[in-house]
Amino acid sequence: MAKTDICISGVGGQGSLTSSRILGEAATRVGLKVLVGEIHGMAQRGGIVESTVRIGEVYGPIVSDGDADVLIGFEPVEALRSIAKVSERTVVIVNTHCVVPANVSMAGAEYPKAEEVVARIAQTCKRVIAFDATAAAKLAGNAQAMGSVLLGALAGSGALPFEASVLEQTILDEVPARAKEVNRKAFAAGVAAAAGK
Amino acid sequence: MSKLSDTLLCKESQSALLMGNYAVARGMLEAGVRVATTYPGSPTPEIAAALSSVPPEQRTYYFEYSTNEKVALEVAAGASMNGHLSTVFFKSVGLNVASDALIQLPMMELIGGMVVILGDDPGANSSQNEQDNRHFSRMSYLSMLEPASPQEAYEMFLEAARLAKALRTAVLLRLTTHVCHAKELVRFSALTAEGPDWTPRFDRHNGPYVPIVADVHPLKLKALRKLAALSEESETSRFNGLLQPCASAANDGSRLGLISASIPANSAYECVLETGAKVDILKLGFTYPLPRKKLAQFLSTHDEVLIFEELDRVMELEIKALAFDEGLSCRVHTRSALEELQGEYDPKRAFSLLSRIWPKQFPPKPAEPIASECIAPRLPQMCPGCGHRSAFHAVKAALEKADITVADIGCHSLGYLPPYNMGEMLYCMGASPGLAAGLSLHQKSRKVVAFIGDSTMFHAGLPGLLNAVLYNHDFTLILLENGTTAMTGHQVRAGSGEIGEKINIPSLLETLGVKFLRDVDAYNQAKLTATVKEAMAHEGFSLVIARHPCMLKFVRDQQKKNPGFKMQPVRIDQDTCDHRMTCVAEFGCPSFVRHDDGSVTVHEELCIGDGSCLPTCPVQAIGRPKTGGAK
Repeated sequence: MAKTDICISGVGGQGSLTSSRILGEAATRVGLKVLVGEIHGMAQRGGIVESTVRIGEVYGPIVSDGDADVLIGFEPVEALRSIAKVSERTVVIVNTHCVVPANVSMAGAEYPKAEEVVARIAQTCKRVIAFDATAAAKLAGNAQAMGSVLLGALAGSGALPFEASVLEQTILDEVPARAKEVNRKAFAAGVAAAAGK
Repeated sequence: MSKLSDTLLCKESQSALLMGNYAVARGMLEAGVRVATTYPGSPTPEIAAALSSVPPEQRTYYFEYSTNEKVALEVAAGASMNGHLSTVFFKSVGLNVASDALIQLPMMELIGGMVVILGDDPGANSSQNEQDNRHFSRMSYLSMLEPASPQEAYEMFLEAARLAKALRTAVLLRLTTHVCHAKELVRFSALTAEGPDWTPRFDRHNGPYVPIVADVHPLKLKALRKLAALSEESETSRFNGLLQPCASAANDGSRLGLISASIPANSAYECVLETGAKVDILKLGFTYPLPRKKLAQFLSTHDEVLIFEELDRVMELEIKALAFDEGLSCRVHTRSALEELQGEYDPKRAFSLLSRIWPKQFPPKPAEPIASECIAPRLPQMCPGCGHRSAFHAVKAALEKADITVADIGCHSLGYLPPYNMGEMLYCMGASPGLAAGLSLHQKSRKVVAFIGDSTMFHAGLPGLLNAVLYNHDFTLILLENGTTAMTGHQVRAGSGEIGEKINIPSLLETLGVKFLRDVDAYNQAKLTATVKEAMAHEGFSLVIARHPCMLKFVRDQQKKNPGFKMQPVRIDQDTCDHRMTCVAEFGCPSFVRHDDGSVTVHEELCIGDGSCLPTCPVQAIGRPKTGGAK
């Protein structure tokens, strides 16, 4: 049963749902069956946003615990929160830029450091690609292109069952004309990060 | 296609990556729905978003956000009695409110046909319970279809509409969260709908429409006959059939079968494909009435059967009764553990249930260590500038420790979380005045303070409020008036003035007979605290309006008018600030950032410059850029 199960976790406002939709669009372009699922309880209010993209021989949108082929964390602690989806065959892509929850700040509590989080994730999975995708997006021209950076890393990781160029083209077709150049650079930065450059 | 409305209005047959809710909306347009109504809530709000996305002049239908679910169902029913195909859609607990009206539906001759869409939430992903709304089909004698994917949601809406029109009745379409919010490539047909025909075709001779005692039994019989006719439809429905490949007998010669529907059917199918287990799957889409002949046939050709369904044992008990009636010896397995009666069946959970029942077919997998982490929770927050935050901060100052606070449904239920801890009880929509009245009876030692939002008050809160006035129940109701239905995405609420006349809420309450009534801007915290104290000291019912517009909506509206709109963030004067953390730890606006060195700054992206925090700093270190300190 050939399938690729991708989980995406992030915080409301980071654009993770846009990324999962684009990924789904890209898969349909090459004729692959795809199911995209999302859970967004109170995303508008700084809550957790989780989505899934299942490609291939799949019949429902839910990815079971331990079944993810790829986990993309738009925020390091949110990646760690979804660790139950990960097994020793999972590739984990993590943006190391932290978004500290307001409740942690209010309580004056400690927030885990990105390095510690990444080290913890690395113990569980096959490979971890961790880098500051927010900084990379800013460097490309706009912090909001962070999703394109992470999709670039996904394409560069080799975990996708289709060509990187398909995903890149889908992104470019989805964003407004003025944002194309930024997203092209952002995607390339992600590909490079996955290659360890 | 980029725009949602383009997809909905597309004349040609097409494929598009669509969310289940959007696929249903496309089905509505193809079916020729004339009237659609709802009260917003998860998991179906995107159906409304889709219907609203079509410019009014291009709509072939009338759509409204009704005051509550009961009204929504009644409007749709009335339209259908006039000859228009209508539909109403609900959140997971929505039908509870509308059930009074639902139960009457099957006795009425709905000449236009009607589809009632239920958005169930197994797993309680965003609901206060995970009730199994399949029971409503049994209670209302209405048939039910249950799609397992966006494609099926689209197709089954069309089928439900066809059946409803043919039998002049209502058909239930039960979606679940993961059908509503899943996206897949949906293939839809051409749009051939004719222009709307608004001729009023109500004719009492189609009825009777008045269930006087003498007519109740004939009407009930009519409902049962329609259900019997639909039972024949269920037998031949293309949505009820075996999934391929079919198994031959299992190795030990026994023939195993699984009967399932909706999302669990997908999960079971994945398990069978993964293991190559020799188990046949009969997947049902037309789930009420159940296809008895088809089921009897399946039971008689299998030695063991599992009814694989989420939540309650609805199909299981009926299928067991069927096996008994037919004298079939097939063993029907049961989900016995209480844990098996809750939550969603994802493929992994499905596998563990299947391997408990048929370990040879589904060899138990070595328990993989599932990693889990105990990490800082990320709790949803009231937005920067939210008037509820100011209200909670001010009301808290008026309370004694033993006092009891009651919340209602809405954004303000977040007040339960630290640092406010307000609203220790949350029930269903509009319940807070009634609950508070009950809590206040025959006791004076613990004051009772209840909260309610304005949309919820109009939805179902007014009867409880009126009751409090009538009996002068001794509690204080805080009406958190933000002028919208904020929680579910700023849908229009009755009397907000966006549609029709604005309702003057203080005048309304006065007319209802509220004797102690005060109206305070929630940002004016000192006044609000004093007013709430006064209200609590008042013997009998008291009501304080803590008014402030929803600032998320305010900022968005301003940005629509003026794309560059942004108010200057507040600033903290670092020389004045003595790090006592009132703003962070007690007022709790997410715009404040606490640093390791004990200092606090303002997150410039998050702060909307509302200034609601200004009165909370005991040393007046927070200021506006022009007047406040520099940093």
